[in-house]
Amino acid sequence: MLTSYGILISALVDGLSYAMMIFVISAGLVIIFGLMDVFNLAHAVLFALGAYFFIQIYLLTGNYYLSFILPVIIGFVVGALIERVLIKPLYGKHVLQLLLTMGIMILLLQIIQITWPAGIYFPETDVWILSGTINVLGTRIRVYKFIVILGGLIVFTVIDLLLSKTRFGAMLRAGTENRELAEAFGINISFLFTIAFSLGCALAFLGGALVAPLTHATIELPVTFTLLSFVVPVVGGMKSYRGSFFASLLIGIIDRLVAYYFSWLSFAIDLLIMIVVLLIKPEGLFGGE
Amino acid sequence: MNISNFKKWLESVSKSRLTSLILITIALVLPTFSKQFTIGLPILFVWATLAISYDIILGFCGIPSFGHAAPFGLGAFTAAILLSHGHPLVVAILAGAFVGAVVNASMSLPCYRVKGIYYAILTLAIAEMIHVLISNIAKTTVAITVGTTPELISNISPWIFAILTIFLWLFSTYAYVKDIKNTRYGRVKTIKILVFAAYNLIILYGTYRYFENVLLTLLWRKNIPYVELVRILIPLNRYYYTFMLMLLSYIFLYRVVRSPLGTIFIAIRENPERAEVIGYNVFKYTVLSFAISGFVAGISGASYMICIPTATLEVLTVDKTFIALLGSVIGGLGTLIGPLFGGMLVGLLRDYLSKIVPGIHALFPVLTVQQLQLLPSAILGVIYIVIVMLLPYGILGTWYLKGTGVKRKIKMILMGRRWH
Amino acid sequence: MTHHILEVDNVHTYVSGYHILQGVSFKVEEGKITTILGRNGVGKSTLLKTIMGILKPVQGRIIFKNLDITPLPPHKIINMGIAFVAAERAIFGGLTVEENLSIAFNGNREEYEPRLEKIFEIFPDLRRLRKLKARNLSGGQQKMLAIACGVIKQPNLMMLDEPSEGLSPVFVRRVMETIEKLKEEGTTILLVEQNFNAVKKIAEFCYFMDKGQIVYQSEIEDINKHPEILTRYLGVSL
Repeated sequence: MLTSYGILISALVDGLSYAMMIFVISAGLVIIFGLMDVFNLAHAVLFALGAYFFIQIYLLTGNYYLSFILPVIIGFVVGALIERVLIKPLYGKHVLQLLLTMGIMILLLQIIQITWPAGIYFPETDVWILSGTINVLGTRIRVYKFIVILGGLIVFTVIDLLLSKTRFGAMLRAGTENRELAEAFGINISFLFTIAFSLGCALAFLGGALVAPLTHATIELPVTFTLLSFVVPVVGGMKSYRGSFFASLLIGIIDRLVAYYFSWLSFAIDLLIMIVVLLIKPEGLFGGE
Repeated sequence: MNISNFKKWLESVSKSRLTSLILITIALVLPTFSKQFTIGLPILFVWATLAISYDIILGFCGIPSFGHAAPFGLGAFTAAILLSHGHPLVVAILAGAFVGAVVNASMSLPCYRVKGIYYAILTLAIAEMIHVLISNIAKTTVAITVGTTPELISNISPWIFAILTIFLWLFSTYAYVKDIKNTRYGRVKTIKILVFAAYNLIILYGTYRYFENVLLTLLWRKNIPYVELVRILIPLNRYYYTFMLMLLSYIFLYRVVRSPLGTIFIAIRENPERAEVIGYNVFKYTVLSFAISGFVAGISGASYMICIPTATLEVLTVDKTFIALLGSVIGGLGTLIGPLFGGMLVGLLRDYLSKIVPGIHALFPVLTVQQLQLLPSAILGVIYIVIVMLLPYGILGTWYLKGTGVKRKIKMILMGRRWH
Repeated sequence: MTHHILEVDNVHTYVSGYHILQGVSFKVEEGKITTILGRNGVGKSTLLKTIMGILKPVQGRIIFKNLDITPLPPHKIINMGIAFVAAERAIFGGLTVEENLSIAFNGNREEYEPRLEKIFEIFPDLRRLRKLKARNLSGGQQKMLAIACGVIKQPNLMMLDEPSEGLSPVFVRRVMETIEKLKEEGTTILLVEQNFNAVKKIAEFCYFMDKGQIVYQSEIEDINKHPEILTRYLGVSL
């Protein structure tokens, strides 16, 4: 009796951690899109790159904190480079920017496969938080899943605070609402774009580094999450990070619950949710502000 | 349609379509030159067909769709299933085209509510979902083997194409001679005569090779082992079929694009709100354009099954969308002929880059051959990004747009200052 | 010797392929209230956007404080001392009053509080409403906020696009009084309007614009003496 509750809790924890993974990717994507009208198709691949870097650095140094911080910094730099060199010249040409990010996505995917053809796996460690399990009502649950959930919640809170309490956040929201007026107010929109994009990419890398001990880094990672990173903004609202949070929860939990019983059906259910939302409220549940 | 109308039509075609006629005739003769052409070109024709089908939606309607792998892949599967059950090739092609049209049209339905970038993302999601869904539902690897299609070993079709080639050659020669007679400028005349000579040499050489390799074998040697017969006929037929499918698709799309329907598509691309306000149901025409595009994409899928013996899940991968996209963008969106060559170029690059992989491996043994297999796609990705940034109108598109200065200079050189 | 803080020299600007500004030239004298009058569609907003750098002219120059600002990006131009109050959607509805003011502010951190205080002295209503989201303010209050966002920059030149639009006469008077107060404190004002009645009390120099060009200019006294000028160049009577 207790064990079945345990299994339920395990599935719930699964769903929540999965939801947080999806959220961390979608948050950056949605914020960038809201501000710059650039839908970064490569975002999920950047997330995966973060995971690859994390594991690679961990295998070299054994230091968790270093392996976590470095990808974030790399992500910021990479984001800044991409924005300055590739995206900014195409300012205003949205279709081209979309085509461009698709090119970046494919290029990065190839590079990932060339560099790590078999993927890399996070090793077993003695650290209980990283590799250990906890016994909940008869079921063993990976401790790290709770860390992922915690991480996702921290990310949400930090983003929320950043956007609502800081002057930088106010500038981001202003730029998202009315770009031309923000320029007229004297905001350096060009620089804001670069910073926002870099932060978004850093966030993607951070997400990858966060989940790597759980998911390992294989080619499955970018492929699966690319799709989900599209579904969540559609469901939650293309420009709303709050919408992404709740959409991630919805999709993540339902996906994992379905996957538990019928593993092949989970994608279909995700698609179904997306179609239903499109029919009822095409701007997304939190969209259209 | 009486004789005089037909004659007039031939006259107008000979004047305006001379270059196309020449190119088509050369293309028909090419397979005899070298086995390389016969084997390498058919798949390029498939990609060309796919690319021009994509140009209709992105180039002419201006709607980005990232799900083009769906009509291609499902069309390929349909054709494969029919062919493996022994149905005629024509039926398989038409069925594949029809399936492609239905699939693509269905994918365009969300356009009613969702626009632009949002829609593009949705199509990518849908196409991938189809891929993943089929792969998940079928518990084993999906593979449909076509087997030997009777049409491919037909020994009648080489004859038909030979006759066609001869006819086209006669017609183009007649038109060309008339054109040369009408040319005023000496320099241009000389160049045209030279080109004419070269053209005829190519045709004659091709005819000679044709006799040598194909016709003699078929005509004079009665007891040819089946294996050898097939060895000659199959690649030849493959070439001709895929080429004809590409040509017919191109002519079809060309007619669509030059018709009032095509103008409506362009109107939708330029200013959808205005098109709606004028009185055109933009959604209806969007779905129609997707249906037409899907039709040709389905044809290209069936064409693919002419080249490849087995249909696996890889026909549904986003890779195919990328070929269509890349080919269209490089060639020049909205020009139709640009994506035709763009599609072939992309296919060629993939092929060529794959071939030099062993060479690179010899130079840089650091990476394994498996890893290097992916290099062509990576390089293509880089080329794609460069083109998007530098030549957003594609090679041909930029030429049409900005090439007037260059064209003028060439004309001045050729006609010696008298033209300006 | 009059000093011109802003000089627009033969500016041509295209918007979406249309030739909107067809050779606009005028000067704005420092410390005065200059108005540009014209009907709908003559290019007034385009002119202001060009001065600000949001639109770039294909020909011509814009000189501010004796510097050619034509190639500069908007944020640099604004931070040289120009403030702009847009015609509609002049503030960020999703941000609070205080947030609007804080992102409009462009000085050092220490100066923020004192300047904010000054703003609340000039616009006492805004103090009361400071925590509200700007979209919840009335039209007149939003306009006041927009002007406040300009004032907080302590600009040398303040440009206002149709400040009277959509306002009740009471608010129009309040806006004009505020503008006059700013002028008295040394700010140069450039007003763009179609409603002459709204600005006739405070305008000092008037330019008339039609079909993308300046077609007439005069001191305010001349217009008062010869009201037919208005009929000819604005299509209205006094």
